[in-house]
Amino acid sequence: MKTNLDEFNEIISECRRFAKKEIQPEALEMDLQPKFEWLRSVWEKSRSLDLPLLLIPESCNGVGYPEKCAALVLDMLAMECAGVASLFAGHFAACTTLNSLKKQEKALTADILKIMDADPLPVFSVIFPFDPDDSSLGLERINGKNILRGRSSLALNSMHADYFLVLIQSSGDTDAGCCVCLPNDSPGVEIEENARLPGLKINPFAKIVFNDVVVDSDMIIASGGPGEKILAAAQKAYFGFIAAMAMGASRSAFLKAMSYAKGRYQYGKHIIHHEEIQRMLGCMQMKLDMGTAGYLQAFNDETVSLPALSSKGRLAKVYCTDAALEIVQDAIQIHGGYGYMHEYGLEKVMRDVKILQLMGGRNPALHIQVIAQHPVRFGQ
Amino acid sequence: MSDETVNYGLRARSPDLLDTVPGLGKLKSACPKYIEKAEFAQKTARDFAKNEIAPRVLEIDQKCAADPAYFDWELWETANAAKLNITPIPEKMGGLGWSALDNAMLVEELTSACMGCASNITFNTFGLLGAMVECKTDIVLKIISQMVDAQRRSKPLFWSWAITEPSAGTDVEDEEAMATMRPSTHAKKIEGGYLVNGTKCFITNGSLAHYVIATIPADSAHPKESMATFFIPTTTKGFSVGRIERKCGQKASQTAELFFKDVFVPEENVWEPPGKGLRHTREILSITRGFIGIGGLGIARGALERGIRYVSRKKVKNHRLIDEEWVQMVIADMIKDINTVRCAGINFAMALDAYHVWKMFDSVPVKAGLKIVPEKILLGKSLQALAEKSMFSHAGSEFKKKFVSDEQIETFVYYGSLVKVAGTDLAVNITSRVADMVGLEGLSDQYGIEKSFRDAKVTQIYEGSNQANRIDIVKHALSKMGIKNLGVPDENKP
Repeated sequence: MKTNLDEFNEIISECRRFAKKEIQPEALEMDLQPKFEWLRSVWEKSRSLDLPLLLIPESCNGVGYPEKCAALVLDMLAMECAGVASLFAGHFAACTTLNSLKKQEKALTADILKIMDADPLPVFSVIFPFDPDDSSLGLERINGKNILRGRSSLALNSMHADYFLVLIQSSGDTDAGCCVCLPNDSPGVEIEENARLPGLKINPFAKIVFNDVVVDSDMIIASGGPGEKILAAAQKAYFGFIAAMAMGASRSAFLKAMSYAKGRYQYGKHIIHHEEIQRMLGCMQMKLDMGTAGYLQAFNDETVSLPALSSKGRLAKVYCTDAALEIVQDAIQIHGGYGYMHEYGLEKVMRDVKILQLMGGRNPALHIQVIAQHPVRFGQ
Repeated sequence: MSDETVNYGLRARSPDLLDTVPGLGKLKSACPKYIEKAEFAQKTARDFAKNEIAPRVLEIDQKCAADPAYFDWELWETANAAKLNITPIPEKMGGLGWSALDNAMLVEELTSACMGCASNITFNTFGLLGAMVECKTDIVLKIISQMVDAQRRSKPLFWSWAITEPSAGTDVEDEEAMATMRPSTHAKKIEGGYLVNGTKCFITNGSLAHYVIATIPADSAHPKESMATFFIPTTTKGFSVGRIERKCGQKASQTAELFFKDVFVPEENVWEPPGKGLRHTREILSITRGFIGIGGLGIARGALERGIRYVSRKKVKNHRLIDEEWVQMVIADMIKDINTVRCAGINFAMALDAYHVWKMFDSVPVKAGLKIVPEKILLGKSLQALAEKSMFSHAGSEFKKKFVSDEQIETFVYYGSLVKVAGTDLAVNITSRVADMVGLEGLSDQYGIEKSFRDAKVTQIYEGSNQANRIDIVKHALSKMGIKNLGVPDENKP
């Protein structure tokens, strides 16, 4: 596995160049008038950097890079458009399932291998059991057939995915920790209307309804214990990816604020010379540094054993998205009225970050989950 | 669960002024008419916001997102028919005679439904405010007469206050900053008046305005010493409107660039001569900043109202989202913050009634004049002609000075800034927390919560950035403590 620092830095530089060239020129217009074909074209162009294959194991003809590398890629893409980055985030999160299987030394079915071997590699969407409301997803065995039914929560890549990777949480039933792969045109799969959220507009969210979808046994990637592990791994990576995108988006806002403060003259000097502006920028820099360290830490397999140190992906997501919103709002404040205008790009970042903040569950609820889901800490 | 079962905000028992600020009960026993009228204003405004604004607000937002030049004339006509755009004008002269407290009720209720729509209705009082600051009898009578006449004929009459420039935002609002500002506009003295050139930006209603009240320096090298206030009809040759900005939120309210190319302003339209422009600006700010804070309060309350409605309905597993303890704690915190800022806003508005221009309406000469002089004469040409005579024209200004001193203006800039910062920070904080509470689905545009979130941010920026407001707060407060010359090196201190 390629993990050395020079190689990471090279990938960061390449992705930065790619994002500036392919995403930046159109990002604002695509926020106003989203064109799905444009996003698809960015996806196609990203194949020159092997981005779709980044997390696919080498044994499946992928690049086999670690998730941390994918997070850095997302950070760079999100600097120009978090909506574009989110397409890759959904895809990467789906791809983590393969790595998880590999770690568990579990084999892929022939049908899944065939999908992974397709050229070009299809776009995946991963459907998590977050925020179940109307009805939870469930996979049942009826008359010798595997039947998937239910309605997902709002799903990323809903309009762009070729395949849905559906993760089903344990409910003490036969569907315990299932991971199912389905083509988007499977009979019974219905993509609901765009939820019309204020951010990530190029990659809209929608609920996916599964109306008694028959799932071929070969399309069940894992179930039972291995399925649970896949779900946990995918969730952790997904949270880390959201954190990375939030940092990338707010990184661009920070840089814009720095640049603007150097050029804007107010109260007798360039505003970068005002202590209050310096304090705001210093605070933004601190949050960026801490957030970046936090999400990278969440991808570390090994860490020092300090008491009460966690490397929870969900906490990185909470910290990074909260910090990112504060950074962007301060960047807008430094820009004054210009920051509120669409053409300056910052208000779009604020809307995008607000969606990142809510993806994967509400942040206050995630705080609670981190403690509540570890009963050993209560001595129980 | 139907909307009606959440009796909060626009759907609360109306009026509920004494429920939310019960201390006013003591004042009510002393001045029953004052509080009763505020309760009436609250009910009137709430009914309008609930019945007229709220049902169409999302549609208006979408239309304005597609076309920033879209303006909802139907809503404006309804508001005009209810006289909500001329509330401070005395009843005898055709307005509603609403006090500052009554107007605070109006602003909170309308902004809780939509800040952009509220701006279209209430920001029009800039014309009246500008005239009241000047307070030359003939100008005040003329402006009131025009506003009332337009209202009666249901003809739009918009006023814009143009101070912001591309290279100078808050510089135009502060004495020290103005001294070093780099103006984008210039007024050249010529025979019979001034020739104005330059650009103003981010001007609310600029694209709709029939008249613009603009602060422009006569000497670009010495803006503070030469800042003047001009009254400019937008039909004047050389005036044009640039682009209408595509904003993050408050889309229903148009924000535009204004261009002046050799615009001639005759002497009689110079409302403040060079050197007096800053005072004019400060006096308007001494009133408007506090109302922006109350607008922020309204945005926050509206977001919370929508948020409570959502979490009361939203099912999570086998319970409602509102049944979760953390949600209840968040709501408690928000109610606490909203109620605290509301008390500050109401206190500010009542202070305006007690010590600022509204006090004039309670003075014996004004009250007697309004009582004795018939309406036809008040708004007639004969009184206007008499008022134009120099002696009478300046009588109004002199009379007002007895009520509003320079020191009072600075004190009210301080009071207003306190409310402005508190209210607008509240708006940004609460709209974001409501979004966190309702989650991804709750941010779908059909619920209006994401609109509140988008609307809030700019309130921290306009009417002086909150940083500029804080400068005013600390300067005034520390000066009262005897600490002056902040930031001046020791060797230069007197």
